[in-house]
Amino acid sequence: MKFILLFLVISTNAQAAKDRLSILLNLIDEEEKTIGMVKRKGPGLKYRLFELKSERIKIWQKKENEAYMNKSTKGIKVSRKQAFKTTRALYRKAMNYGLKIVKQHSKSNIVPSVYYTLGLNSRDYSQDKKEYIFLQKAIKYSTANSSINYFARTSLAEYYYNNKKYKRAVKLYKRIIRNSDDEWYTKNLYNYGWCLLKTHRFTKATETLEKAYQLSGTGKYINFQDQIMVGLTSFYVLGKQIPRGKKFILEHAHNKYEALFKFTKKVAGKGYYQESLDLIKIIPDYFTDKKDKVQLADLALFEFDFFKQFNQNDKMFSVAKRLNTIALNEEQRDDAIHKISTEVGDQQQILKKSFDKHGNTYQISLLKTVNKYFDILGNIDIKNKSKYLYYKAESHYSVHEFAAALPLYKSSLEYFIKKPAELNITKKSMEGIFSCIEFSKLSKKNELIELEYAYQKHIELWPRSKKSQKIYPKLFSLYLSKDDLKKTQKTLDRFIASFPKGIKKQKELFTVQLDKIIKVKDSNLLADKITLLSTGYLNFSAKMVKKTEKILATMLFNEYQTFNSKGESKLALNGYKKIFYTKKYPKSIKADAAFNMGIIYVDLFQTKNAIKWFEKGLPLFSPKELSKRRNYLDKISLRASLLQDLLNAAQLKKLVLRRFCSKTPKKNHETLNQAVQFDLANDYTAKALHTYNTYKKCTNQDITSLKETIMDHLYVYNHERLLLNFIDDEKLSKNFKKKIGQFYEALYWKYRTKSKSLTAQYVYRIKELKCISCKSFIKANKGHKRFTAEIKRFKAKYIRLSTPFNPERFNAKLNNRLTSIKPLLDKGEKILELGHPEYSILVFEKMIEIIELSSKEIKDLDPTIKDLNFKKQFKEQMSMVARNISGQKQSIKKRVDSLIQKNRLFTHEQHKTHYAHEILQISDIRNPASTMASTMDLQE
Amino acid sequence: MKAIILIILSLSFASCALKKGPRTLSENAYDGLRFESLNRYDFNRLDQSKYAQKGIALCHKKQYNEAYKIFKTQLDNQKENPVYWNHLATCFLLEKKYPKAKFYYDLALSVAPKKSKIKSVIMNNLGLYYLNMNRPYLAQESFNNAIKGNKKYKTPKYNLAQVYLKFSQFNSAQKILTNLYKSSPKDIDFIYSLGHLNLMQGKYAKANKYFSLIPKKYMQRDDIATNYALSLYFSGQSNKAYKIVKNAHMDNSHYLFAQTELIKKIERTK
Repeated sequence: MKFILLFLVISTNAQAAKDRLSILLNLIDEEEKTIGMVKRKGPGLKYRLFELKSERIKIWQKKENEAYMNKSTKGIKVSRKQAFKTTRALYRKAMNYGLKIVKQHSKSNIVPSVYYTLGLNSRDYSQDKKEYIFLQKAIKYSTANSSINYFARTSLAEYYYNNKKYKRAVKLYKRIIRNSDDEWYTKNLYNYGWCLLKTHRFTKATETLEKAYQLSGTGKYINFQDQIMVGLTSFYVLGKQIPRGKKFILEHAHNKYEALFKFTKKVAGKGYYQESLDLIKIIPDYFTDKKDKVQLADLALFEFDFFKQFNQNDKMFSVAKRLNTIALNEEQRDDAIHKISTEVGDQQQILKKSFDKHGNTYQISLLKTVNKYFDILGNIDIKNKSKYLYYKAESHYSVHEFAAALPLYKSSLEYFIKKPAELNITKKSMEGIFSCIEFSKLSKKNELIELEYAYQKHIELWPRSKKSQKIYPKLFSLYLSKDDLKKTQKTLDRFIASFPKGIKKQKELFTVQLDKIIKVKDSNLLADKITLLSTGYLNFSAKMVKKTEKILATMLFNEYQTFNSKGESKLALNGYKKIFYTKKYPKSIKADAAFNMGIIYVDLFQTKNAIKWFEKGLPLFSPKELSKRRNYLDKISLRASLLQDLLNAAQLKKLVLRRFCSKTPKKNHETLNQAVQFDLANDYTAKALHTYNTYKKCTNQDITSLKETIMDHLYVYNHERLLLNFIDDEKLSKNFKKKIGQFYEALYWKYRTKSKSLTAQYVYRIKELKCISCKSFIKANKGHKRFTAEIKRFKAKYIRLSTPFNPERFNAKLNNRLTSIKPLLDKGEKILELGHPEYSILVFEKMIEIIELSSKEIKDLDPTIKDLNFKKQFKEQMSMVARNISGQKQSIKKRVDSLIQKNRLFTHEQHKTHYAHEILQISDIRNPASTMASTMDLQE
Repeated sequence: MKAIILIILSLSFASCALKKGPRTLSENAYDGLRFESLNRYDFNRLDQSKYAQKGIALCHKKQYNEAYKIFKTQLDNQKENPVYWNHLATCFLLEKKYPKAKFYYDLALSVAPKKSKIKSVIMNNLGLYYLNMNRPYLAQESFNNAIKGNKKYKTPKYNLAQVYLKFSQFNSAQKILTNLYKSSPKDIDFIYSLGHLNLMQGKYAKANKYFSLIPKKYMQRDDIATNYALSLYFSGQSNKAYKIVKNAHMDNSHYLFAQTELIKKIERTK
């Protein structure tokens, strides 16, 4: 809003000026029109028209001048002729009109005025050099005492003065200054004074100006005192009237300090050393405001020049020092800086020129002075202090004082970094630093310190410059030589940030650094680097990362492996544990540490701990490593099994299954088999079954044979309940019908005489199984049952003797009884035809039983017969019959023997049919074969 | 109650005196299997043998833990050796850790070369394992395989004969035992087995003939004394039977009942 207002004001002011000029021109036009309406114009009106034309020139000159200035400020070049075209045209028109009036009214009293105006017009609006002629004519045609005459003369005197026609001017002014009534009298005196001076009439000139000065201050005339005093100071010096000047100034000068200071400058300018010095001394007495330091500073600045002018170097330097203590305003500061800079620049050149390269000599004092000047400059111009420090360094460098130059270059650089200035000296300072390091002949240690500084600063200031690209590796190497691995990394990081495409070199450096870390065996640092690498640092390959991890692992594990191999497993375990719980180590190392602990615990037979650590370690491995570890665990497990530690072996297998359950279903098949078999080898059936049930899902292979193994084991080692459950749960009857049939049958025989419920259970299972041998068994079983029942019924139908004994009835009973034996035995024979070996033996046993039963029954018959002889005969006959019946036993035994031997039948059911039945009745003295059999163990 | 305690005490003292087992033989001469098996070596023979410090010998001395330690130390050098695994498995067999025994026999078989003698050895021992597991058919098969593998080995033949004896395969047993007897006529168990074979067939005279060949020293062995006494008893030589049974060690429960019954029977007839 303010801007708009300002714009309006500006535009309004400009517009107002234009409008004013337009109004004036309009007024002139209006007046011209009004006068123009007068048909017969007299000289007065014509002169008025001439004046209006002159006035129009003036206005147009103003307008055109304004336009010209505008264009000039905008940089548009326009010739003056072109720029003031209208002014010139109007001038010519006015001049012609004026000359026409003079011509038309030559005897009129307006003629001098017209000539005077023509003269002034020529002076002001043209360069046609007609001013002199017109002014001459104005004087000529005017009366001597007329004002036109006085003005024309004064203008002519000025014309002479301006055109350096001083003698003519003096002549005219002599007459002019007679008129002391003119308010411009002081100006005329001033001009007159100058004309006198130019004509070498110094005393008269001085007096005239002194008079003009004094009159100027009276108020009667226009005040020219300042201008006059300037002139006077020159007049005193030119006229060698320095004491007079001093006196006049001290007595009459309106501003004594100013006049005196200007005067002193003039005096000094003309080479008056002592006089100047005297004046300088008194100037402070005339300071208008003693608190204000401006005048003091102005004087000092003057003094600096003054002493320089007179080659008073010491005094000049003192003034410079003084300047350093005075508060300078901006202008003065600039002046002081310029003066001192110029001086010290000159002195630098001298110093440089004075340096003898061969003798290495120079003006030491000069160097000191130069240094001090730069110090002063640095103080006065503090924002550019870096520049002056640099110049100091350059001064030293120019005389080969490299060691001294080096810290100065550094200071200049540091100062610039802290307070940047207009002149950027960083590059030059840096060049100086490198150059000084090269030429300073520093000790190796110091050289490294300086180089470190230089490299650091360079990459700090121009991190992406071409030179920096070469410096990063150098700085890196420098730190590497100092074993400062923190800084090597920092340098490398900067290098990477500045040159993302320089990866090849950066990788090279990083590798060198890794080598160093490995050499110094700094496992902590190496771990840090691995963490870095694992973030994708410098795009190192996974292989490289792995390799480094292996090195770290070797570094870390070496000590603990030594402990372990020396049998100090506790120390080894502690070491590995420490590694495992150290945050910074990579996963793979922790994994290895845990795994190694696991191995140690396996060796210590502390499987629980081993498993715990394997469990901790395994999730930390990469899939590839995990696969390797699996193989290793398999090997450990195998070794444990070979070392008779089947429990641990199984545990380890289970660990593998747990960890790899869904990953390697094919491989898991063998692992599952082994895990189960290891537990079975310990007869840990519950564990084996748990393993089987838990991990059978981990394989996609056929596990039928494993099921068979478990089933066999449960059978062989009499885990009957588990066996039956397993068969049922796993529905094994389908695949192993025959085998299971054999198992059931064997179990049936085991319990046949001991448990009715169990035998019934197995008969039921055999029946359900429906295997070929099962069917035979069931038939034989049923047949045997029926046969047993028949025998029971047969037993019940024994011969019951009547009382009194009736031989005929007895014979019928006996005959009936004896004939009933054969059909019964035939029933047994039918069962034998089924060919079931065990039941065949049982049937034979039953047949023997029938024979023995019948034989005994008949033998034991004891009828109530009073006739003892008859009774005896009866008994003998019955015994004979009994023997006949019993005689069949032997043939049955032979048949059994033949059956057993022919069929290689290993039965426990042979009793009565055995040849040694009598002995076996006392006790079964047949040794179990296992107690009689011998091992074989004497083979090498 | 007192009687029972006395019997238990007498049994325990007797077993201490026996050193190792009831079927050990103190002289090599009576051991027809001495080049194949340490089974019937008594402690003296074991200690004097060149195998004394070996794991297997320690197992026969029932020093199982010591034996297993030795086996462990030998593992790295021996793990491909079937003999090593056979010995280890046999130790477990002797210790009656049958599942482990089977595990290591299987391992032994897996490292044994095909058609090697050691394979026969392992098969023999596997047969023993099966006998302990009451799998006589599998035992028979193993012994047969052992014999097939090396016909010179006597042990599997002897073992097979024991299976046949137990299960009344008299002809087969007869054939094997006769051959063994011919090869080692002094072997106590060969003679005893032949005696037992005949006894079981009711051939008492033949049985007596064989039992009488057994040196007096071994006549007290419960199996021998019981079998011989029964044979004598059933052949009508009660007095001799009584003497023999009375002199028996009577420390084997398997025979104790038969022995006491026989004594009662004889005493009743007196």
